[in-house]
Amino acid sequence: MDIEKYRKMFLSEAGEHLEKMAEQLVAVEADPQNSDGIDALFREAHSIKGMAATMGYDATARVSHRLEDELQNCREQGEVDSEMIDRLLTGVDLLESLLEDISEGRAERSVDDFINGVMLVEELEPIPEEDSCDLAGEGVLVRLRLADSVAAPGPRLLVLLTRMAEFGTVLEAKPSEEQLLQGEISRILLVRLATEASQEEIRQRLQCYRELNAIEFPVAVLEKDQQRKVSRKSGTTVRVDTDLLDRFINLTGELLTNRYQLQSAAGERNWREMNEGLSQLARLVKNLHHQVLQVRMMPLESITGRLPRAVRDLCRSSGKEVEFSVEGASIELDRAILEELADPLTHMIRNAIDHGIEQTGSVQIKSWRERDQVLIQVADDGRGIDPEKVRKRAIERNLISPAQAQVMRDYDVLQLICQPGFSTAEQVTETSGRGVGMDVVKTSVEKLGGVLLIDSTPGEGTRISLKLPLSVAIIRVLMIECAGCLLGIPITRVLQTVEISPKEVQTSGKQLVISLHGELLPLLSLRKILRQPKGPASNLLSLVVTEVFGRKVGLVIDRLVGQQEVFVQPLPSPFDRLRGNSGGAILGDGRILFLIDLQSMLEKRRTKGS
Amino acid sequence: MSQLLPFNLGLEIYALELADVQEVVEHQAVFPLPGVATTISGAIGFHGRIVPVVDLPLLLGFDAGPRSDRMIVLTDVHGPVALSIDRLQRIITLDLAHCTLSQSESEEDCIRGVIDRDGEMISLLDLEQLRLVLDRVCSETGG
Repeated sequence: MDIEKYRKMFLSEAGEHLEKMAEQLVAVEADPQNSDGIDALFREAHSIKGMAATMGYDATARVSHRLEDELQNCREQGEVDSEMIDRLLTGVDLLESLLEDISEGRAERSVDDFINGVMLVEELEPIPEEDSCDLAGEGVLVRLRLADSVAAPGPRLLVLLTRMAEFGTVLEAKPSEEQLLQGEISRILLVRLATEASQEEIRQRLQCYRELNAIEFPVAVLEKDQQRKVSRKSGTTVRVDTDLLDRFINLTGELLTNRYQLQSAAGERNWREMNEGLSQLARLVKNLHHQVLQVRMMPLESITGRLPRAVRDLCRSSGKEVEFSVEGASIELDRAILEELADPLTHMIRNAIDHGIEQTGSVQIKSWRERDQVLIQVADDGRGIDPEKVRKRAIERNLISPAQAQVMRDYDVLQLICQPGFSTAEQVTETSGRGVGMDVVKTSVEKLGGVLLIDSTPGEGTRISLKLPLSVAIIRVLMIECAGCLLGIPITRVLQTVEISPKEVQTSGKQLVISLHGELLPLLSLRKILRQPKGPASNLLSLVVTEVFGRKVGLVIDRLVGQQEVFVQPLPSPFDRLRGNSGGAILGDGRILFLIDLQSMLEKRRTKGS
Repeated sequence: MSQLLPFNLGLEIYALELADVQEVVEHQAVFPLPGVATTISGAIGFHGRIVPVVDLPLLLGFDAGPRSDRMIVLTDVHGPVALSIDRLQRIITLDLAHCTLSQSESEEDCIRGVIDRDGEMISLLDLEQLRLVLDRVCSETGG
């Protein structure tokens, strides 16, 4: 039996049940007599218990069983009081930590305190890292944990260490034999063993030692770190609708038929058949592509699901009353985008509650689709942001000159909040009232090819809008040419394209500018940014109006080529680290287009140039 | 016995073990990458994938200049990455165990050792060192 496969399935399913529980709990807290809600909670706890018991995760099963009991009591009483909500949430958190233990291959942590009802919310702490294994090298790692009841752990470990030597050669042990002889006390023994014995054999032969709580085979740190990186990067499993799978099978069948059709047409040199086959192939591939993308799509819900709980906790700690709602949670986005969006979204909600809402108010997430983009809005009805304060602060921080501050529109001033260096945590609360890490939020959104805009009216509230592409893999780009390179800029980053006569260019100080819609627009030369020689003089300048570091600029390029949807591939490592290059795409005619990320290119120059 | 793919860089002969080579491509259009170091001459489309091209002679301190029409694409373990070279030679088979494989002194030259093949010196390219050099180029590279 492939335990590993079942373990992953268990983790993914249990995780989903937990998320639903957290969501339900917050709903039940708002409406304590909601018997449907209590029933739903009971069912979720019950599912987790069943799965954990089947998999042999005893602690997880015990905690969920306990939650089930508590919920049964609530059912009988017909309501859940707030004390019980806290207790249930603590249980959910504990279960989450247990799942983490299981996913990291550790033994489940002790749950006795919770079962006995003594654990407080604050007590949940991650297992310290030193507990993880740091003996790296050849051989098998074996970790033995003594039960808490063992009276003299040191000598017991010494016995076990000797016993381990019977399996082969002990290459390293922590604590070592010397340390144990000198009276070092530990309940965990970690041994690196050169042995022919399989893990099963070792386990079986050690099982007779009753004082052992757990026998584990941890992975060496290096490997483990990598595993962790991978699992954090993308959820390990995806659930796919069986309908979709059926469609895949059908498509595969059609592709097979098509292949034979083409093969025979090629054999007979029948061009008409060949052309027909090819156009059918084109249709099939397009369809397949569409379906594959469907698999990658997930509803926004998958990341907003946790937010009600976060809002509840924030309200608890700040003593504020916030009504939280999500509209359009069923809007689907590529999972890669959603994963990157989870933290920024939480951040914006936290900002809204910490700095926007004064005592009571509402925070709302709204999402909808506009052609091939998704819009997400985070709005609060709090105190809003005073542009004058932002102006003042931006001048203090040397982000803009006093002269610039005078001519900038309020709306543009607000965007300065996202500039790196605008605010630091300790200053934010007393001044402009917002902005902890808004630069980080904006950067993550832009990395995904999106745009972030802030709008606020003092006294009425703040609205942050995100414009995101549906998918990171396939995006619409503006194709441009510069110094012989074919380049692409994600269309979401383009505000406008214009062609002007060189006569329209003026100077303002050292800066070349043009006047566009009554505004002075600074010009940047892409050739200069790419350190290419100047291009030939032309009587028409092509400009792409875009935003860098929160400011509108006109990027001078050689030629506008057009727009196209492209399939973006990242460059292989280490070339993916070349700053300013966010991947490339092979076009239908075999040409390669590179995507440029203007902001990080300029960042590179900034740091280098200074 | 090992199979080696020898090639010229300037006047010197280098070689790769055949096991590290994925394919030798010919007459491939190289598309310049915007704003990167000159040692990375661009990228080619390789079976639907984008594979960066490294100007190996330039990277190892030889003169700049036009390179061979042929490029060596290393296996995915090493990238994938395509190497521009000056001239490709025929595959040779030799027993590495019986060759004098003198160790290279420098850690920067990307040479694992030098084989004396009947008086002809062949430098065996060290792909791990090459990777480190490329790592550095890519994290430093400016426009």
